Amino acid sequence: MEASVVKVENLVKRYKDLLALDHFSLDIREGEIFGLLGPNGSGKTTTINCILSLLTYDKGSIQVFGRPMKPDSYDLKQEIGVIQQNVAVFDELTVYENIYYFCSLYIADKKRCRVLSEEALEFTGLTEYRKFRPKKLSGGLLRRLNIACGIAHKPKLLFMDEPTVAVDPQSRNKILEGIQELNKKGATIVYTSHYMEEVEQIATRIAIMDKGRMLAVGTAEELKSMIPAGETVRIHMLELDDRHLSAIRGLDCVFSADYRDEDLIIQCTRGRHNLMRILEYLTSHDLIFGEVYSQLPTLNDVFLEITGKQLRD
Amino acid sequence: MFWTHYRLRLKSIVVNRSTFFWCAIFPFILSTLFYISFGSSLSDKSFPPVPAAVVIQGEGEGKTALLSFLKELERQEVLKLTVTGAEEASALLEEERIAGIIEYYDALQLILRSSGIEQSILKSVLDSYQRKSALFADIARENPAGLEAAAGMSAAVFAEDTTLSGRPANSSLQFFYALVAMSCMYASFYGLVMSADLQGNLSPLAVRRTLAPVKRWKMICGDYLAVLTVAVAVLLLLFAYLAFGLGIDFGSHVFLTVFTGIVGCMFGIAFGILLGSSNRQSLSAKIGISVSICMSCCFLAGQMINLIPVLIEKYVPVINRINPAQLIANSFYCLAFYDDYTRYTLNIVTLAVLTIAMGCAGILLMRRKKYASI
Amino acid sequence: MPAFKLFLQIVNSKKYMIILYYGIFLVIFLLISGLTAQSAEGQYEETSLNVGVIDRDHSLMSKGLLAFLDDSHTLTDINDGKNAMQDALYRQEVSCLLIIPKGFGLKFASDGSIPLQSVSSPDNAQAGPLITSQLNDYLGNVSAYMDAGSTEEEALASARSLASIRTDIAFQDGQQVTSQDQLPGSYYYFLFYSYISLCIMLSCICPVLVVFYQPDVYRRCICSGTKLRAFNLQLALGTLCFTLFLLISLLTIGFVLSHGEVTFTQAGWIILNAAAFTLCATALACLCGYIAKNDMAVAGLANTIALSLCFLGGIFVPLELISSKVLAVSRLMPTYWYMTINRILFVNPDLTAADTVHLWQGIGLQLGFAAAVFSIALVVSRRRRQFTGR
Repeated sequence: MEASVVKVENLVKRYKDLLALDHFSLDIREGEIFGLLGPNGSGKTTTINCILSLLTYDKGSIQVFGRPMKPDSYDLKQEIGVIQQNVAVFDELTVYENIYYFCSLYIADKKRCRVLSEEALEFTGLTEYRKFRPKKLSGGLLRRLNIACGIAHKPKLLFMDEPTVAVDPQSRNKILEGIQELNKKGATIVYTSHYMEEVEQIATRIAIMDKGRMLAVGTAEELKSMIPAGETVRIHMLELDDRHLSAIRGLDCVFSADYRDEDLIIQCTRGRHNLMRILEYLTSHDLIFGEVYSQLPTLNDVFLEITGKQLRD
Repeated sequence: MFWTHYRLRLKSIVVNRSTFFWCAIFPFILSTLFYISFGSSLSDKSFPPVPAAVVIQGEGEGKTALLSFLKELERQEVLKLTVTGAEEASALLEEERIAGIIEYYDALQLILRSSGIEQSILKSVLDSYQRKSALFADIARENPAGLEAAAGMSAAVFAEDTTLSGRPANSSLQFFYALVAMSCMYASFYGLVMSADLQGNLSPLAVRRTLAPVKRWKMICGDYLAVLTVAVAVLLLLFAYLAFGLGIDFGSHVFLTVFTGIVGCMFGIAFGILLGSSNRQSLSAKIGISVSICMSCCFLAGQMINLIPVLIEKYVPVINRINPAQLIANSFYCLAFYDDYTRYTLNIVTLAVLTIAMGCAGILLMRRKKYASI
Repeated sequence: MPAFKLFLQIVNSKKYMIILYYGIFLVIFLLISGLTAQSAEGQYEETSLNVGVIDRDHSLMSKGLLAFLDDSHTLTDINDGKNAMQDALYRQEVSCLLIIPKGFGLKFASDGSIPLQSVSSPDNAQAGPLITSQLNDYLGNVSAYMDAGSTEEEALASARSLASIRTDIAFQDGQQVTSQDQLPGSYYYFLFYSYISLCIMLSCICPVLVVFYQPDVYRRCICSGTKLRAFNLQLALGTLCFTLFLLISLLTIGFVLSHGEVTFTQAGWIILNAAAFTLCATALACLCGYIAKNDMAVAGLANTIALSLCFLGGIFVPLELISSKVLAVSRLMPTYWYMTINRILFVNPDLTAADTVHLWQGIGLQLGFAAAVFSIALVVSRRRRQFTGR
């Protein structure tokens, strides 16, 4: 098993009366892309800031690379990169100057710093914008600059706090590809987001949190296996009488079935060939149907199962 | 790393438009305004001739003598006369084209419409005439033989203006000294920007810089050096503009004058750091507070009304002892007009103590730490 | 009325700054009140100085001339030493020094002279020359008497009695005139009302317009169901309410603090004058609001405009110190006319027909300035709307 890069145990953090983190625990292993998923206000950013020793906390312990993390742990900070939710660059410096400046805070050698800055520019596709000031960049490019400043010094541990907020699809894809590439090169990445599709796409392991508590942690498959239901099938039918509806409900592969607004919605059980069996029933009983949609369970379903509400409520 | 940090920080401060305006443009605008407003008095030229009307009714030796006296003053460009009738003179006075009417019917009278410097000059001239007339009348009555001798002495000079330092006094300099003090205090904007970019709970940029593996004191020193460089450079430009462009006299102690300015800038920056680090208001709110405090200190140092420091010295002198703008302005006065360094040293030491106290407090607040919230 | 509520909310966010300005204004007023003496109605008062005396002679002559000076000034003995003298000037205990050199009396009596020395305080250059001028006059008379045969004592006494001769002063049409040095504190309160009202209007109205004309906010507003005209009317209503609030509150405070210094007629003109000027300030605030793009720009514009108008208009600097060329420019400023009206009201409280004409002229010019600036502001706002994509 890979070594623990970040270990958080029983973290409690209060903002006056608000309990932001409620005995929160986390264990991030080396080399993985760890997705931290949760709705707005669930405590993702607070967790990151506590790990980075920016925020005080009331109880618990935090270790990074096996050592306690403190504000003056310079050796640990040397290996960490941060990409914040808000763009954090100098408006007065050009793109290249910003990357170079932040790289120089980690790398003492000027020559190496220049090389790394050029690599970061190329990695984030900002080479042609090197002389632009941040105010002249679009939202997507600004986010890429934000990322470039955080990764230029090639950190071993990278925290990315909702890096694709308000970003166009092209830039978003580029960012996600870049993250995977960084991971391949050996970086451990902690990725927080409330976009489950992104997290599912790139994360090795995912933790779902809400109201400062860890709800579930595991791979995407492991999390989906927590819910009893399998895929959801929706079939457009002009009419369906109750007799057939009851019969469909009685099928082995059906967990639950509902007919409303000319749509038959079936929650299947876990297993294979569920759609085939359902369609077989319909055709054998000469029931006329139109479009058929099938959707595998998502993390939103996991979240709904655990908390009773949607991930985007 | 340090020099890269310093260089790029320097650039980011210089290019920042709002701080550049307050610190580099505003003092130049203000000094030009001052110069335009009362620049003529700086070169200490004499007062322009006072316009007056002369209305004399009847004839007589006294009236002739008065007219000759007034004409002589017109020749010396003290007065500008219009000899006319009563109605026309009254109309001129009502239209404020003359300062007063010198009227001689049975007795000499001065008719005014308002009260000011020109009216004071007219009165003083006529008082002098009447006293001289009375003097000669007295002597002619008591000892006519001594009249000739007396006439020679009455115009002699017995008192002269001088200075203790060899430098003539100038009431308008106070405005400019207070202006330089204001420029020093406006360096507080750099301090505000510095704290916003370093204090982890004030901006995302500060968070990123806080997370870097760089010792806090190096980061603070680099930033401080950068802001001080810019502040001092602007101050030197302002000195050059005032001294060579507008002809303001700062005395001959160039090094100490510049040193005073540098200490003033250091105070301004320290004040800005303390104000910036001590609360979580927005940067524009802090700039508003800083402008208000700086302007108030400069007002109390006589930037708008030159009698204010006199009043404060009379009723609440302790304010003059601790008002940083007054300390800076007074230091310039001491260097220009007093050759003993005691007063200057006291001012500079007080200013330095205030600077160190504020600076230490500000830096303590900016030290690396965890925050309750970001 | 959403725009009106927005206006109030933004102004509300500036309340601490408004309170700060009010506080500063009151402090300035209290300080100035301490400076001004009680007004002596209709009389002309000579300037009286604090003079520091260093008498190295201690002769009859020196005592005599000091007695003469004591008639119109306040004399203070200063220790004979450069340090002590510089200290006295530095601490502004005296406006100037008079040094009577040793042997002055003897030399004077024997037809020679060692000149007396007057030293002005560095920031009060007029003090020394005034004393010098008076001493030259007096001693000239003393010398004339002595040359005519009087003894030293007789000459000193005769010259001192001459000094009591003063020209008769009358004021045109018998009106009461207040000396410039004796204007009451309320004069200065209403004078600096111009600066404070400019600062507050620029600092409060501009941010509202800056917020409203931010491209995204503006576009969102014009896409809404409310007509743009309605928005503008509501903002105008908000501006009007705030202007009235400022005018009424500051004038009320001024009249309360004046208690009795201001007559009913004066009060009426002061209100008219202040209203006209506040309208000018509002117009300037609207223009700046359409030009500025953020709060920093507002702060910069507000301070620059307020100080420029007040310095060039003679609010802070006496008109006598301003050159004629600059005065030609000053006459274009509303502050100049505001100051002129204020001066007429307090210096010549009994208004003549000519004064009344001047007052109406000043008010008319201020209203004309306000109208001109409002027109420019409308043009600028139209261009700004085009730019933000109407």
